[in-house]
Amino acid sequence: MGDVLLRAEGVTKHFPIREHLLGRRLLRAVDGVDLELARGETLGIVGESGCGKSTLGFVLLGLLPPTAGRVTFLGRDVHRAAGRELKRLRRDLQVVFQDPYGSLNPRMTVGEIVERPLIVHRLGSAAERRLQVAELFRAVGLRPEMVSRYPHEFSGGQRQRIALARAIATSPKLVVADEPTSALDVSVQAKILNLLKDLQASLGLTYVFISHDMRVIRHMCDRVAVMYLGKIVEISGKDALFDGPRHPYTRALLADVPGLDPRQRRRRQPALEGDPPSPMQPPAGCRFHPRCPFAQEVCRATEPALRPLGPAHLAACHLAETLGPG
Amino acid sequence: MTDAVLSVRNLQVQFAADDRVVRAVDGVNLDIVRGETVGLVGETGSGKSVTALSILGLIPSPPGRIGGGEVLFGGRNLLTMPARELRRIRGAGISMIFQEPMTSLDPSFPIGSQLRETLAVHLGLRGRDATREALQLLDRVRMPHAARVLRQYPFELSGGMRQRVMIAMAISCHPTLLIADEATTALDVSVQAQVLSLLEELQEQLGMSILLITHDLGVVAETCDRVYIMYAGRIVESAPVDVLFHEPLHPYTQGLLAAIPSAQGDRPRLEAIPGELGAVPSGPGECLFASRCPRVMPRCRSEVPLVREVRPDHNAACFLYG
Repeated sequence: MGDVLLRAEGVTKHFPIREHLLGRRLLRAVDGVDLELARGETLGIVGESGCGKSTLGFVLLGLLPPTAGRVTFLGRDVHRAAGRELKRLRRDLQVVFQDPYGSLNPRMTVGEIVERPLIVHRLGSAAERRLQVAELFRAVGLRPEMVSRYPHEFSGGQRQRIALARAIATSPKLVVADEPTSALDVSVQAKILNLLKDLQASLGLTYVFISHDMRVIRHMCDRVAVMYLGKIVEISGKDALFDGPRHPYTRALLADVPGLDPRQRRRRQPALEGDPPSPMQPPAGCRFHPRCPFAQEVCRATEPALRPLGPAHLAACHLAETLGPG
Repeated sequence: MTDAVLSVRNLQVQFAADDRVVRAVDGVNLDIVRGETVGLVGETGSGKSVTALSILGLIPSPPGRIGGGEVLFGGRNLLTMPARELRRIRGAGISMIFQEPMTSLDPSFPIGSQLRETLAVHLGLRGRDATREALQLLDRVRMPHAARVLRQYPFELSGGMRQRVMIAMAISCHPTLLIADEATTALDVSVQAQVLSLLEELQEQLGMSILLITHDLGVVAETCDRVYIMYAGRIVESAPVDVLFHEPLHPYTQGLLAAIPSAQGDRPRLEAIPGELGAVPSGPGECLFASRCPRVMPRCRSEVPLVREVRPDHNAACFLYG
């Protein structure tokens, strides 16, 4: 990859869970993730609840220290930075969350919310900041006259615009968007997705786009990583992944996306049985084997490594060659 | 429709908010035939859930108020039925499942005791009979380890498993109609596929009708026979599912379909409906979609379009069609 902005090597995040007075167990939220992010691209991270995609996002941002492994942003270790270096990193790495209600302080006006990062990073005088906030409001499609209102006066879609204005206030290089449209109606989602693409084009942003929605992922991303129980099971360019998935879990996720053509409706046969197992006790061997329709003895015994199966296409499946692209 | 299991006629539901009255449901007509799955689709605030709750007399009053209309079930109007009789209809005639099964289950009792209570109230089953029936119900909803689940508490089950418990309760009295209000919205896509497949299977076995309330057009395309599209408290279009997806008539339906990212990834930009629901209040004498409609005409600002049959079995409330 030409211009690597961010690199994750062996990133692992375990949370200790206290169960009884004496017993402590580990929740393996993220378990040995390697990633490279090129400048200007959108990398999608997709998976079901509990697969560790949000935790991974937090570790990439430097907001959660990893249990093992490291994250570097333009060569600087995100979790060892301190002082001015850390502050510079915080400017470059920003985040937008799913919940547009919980992520905005209800006691601040939306103008103060968007101005806050400018104050923290000492960007501009008070007068300059006021102009900058108005500019940010315009950039996300809000009228600058709205600055003195409070978050509760806005709809979910407008709040997500405010969250975006705050995220781009410091001119970041990378934005992690964690399910940014999952709480929105489809017609509002369309506007926010369009806005995210516009901002990327005009500001040269790099995105990590976390979602459980395969349609949204395909629409937004250049490359996609599929996570299952804390591990990346497949990663590839978007079209190769959607048109020829190599991991049975990716195949199943794609098969279960409801189609939009009633004429192509088939007798619904769910692709997967049961729920994902607990990340407290991930199955031995391949973590997907208890739900995998193709599982063999080797899958129960040995954990498959993520390995190349095509140009920039990696998957962690013992049977990838036998099964062929799905 | 003569063989309708349920007929909603000109339903009006209002809510008192501050100093004004919100018409959450304004003149809704809806029919469900035996054995069919009907989708009621709309975005947040469209009135789809209020419609469903009104059918079962579950609108909190105040602030809610049924302003008029009829809900005919088995030839009788549920809106004027005495509370005692309505309670009998709930569960045995019509049952309902919701989006978040955790709030519908009591966190402090095991699944078994909650299932047995349902069976005692509605079917008079007690003791071993109730336990046996509860086990059978859990098998019926394909619950793994049913015997163990009877002893477990709601928090010990996954979202998908809790929704299976709710479905087991809902079908315990063989209802004629099952109302599912965003029942798969909170679930992961693989679990959603399991629950939808289960509902389809149970429908075949029990011959019940399903009213599926959802904002997800993908779910509708995969499961429904007919669809009603709701906007701002009114039905704006209804048609067989195949027709609705291939020849949508109302500009709102067209906008909704165009806003969904394609699974083939062949739309570089999404078409968004301008404006937001309720952002620009419409006057009483105009189409409620007029302020957002890309094909708005002068007439839309001075008259309310009524639902009419544009083509056989395909209805829309829009002046584009006369």
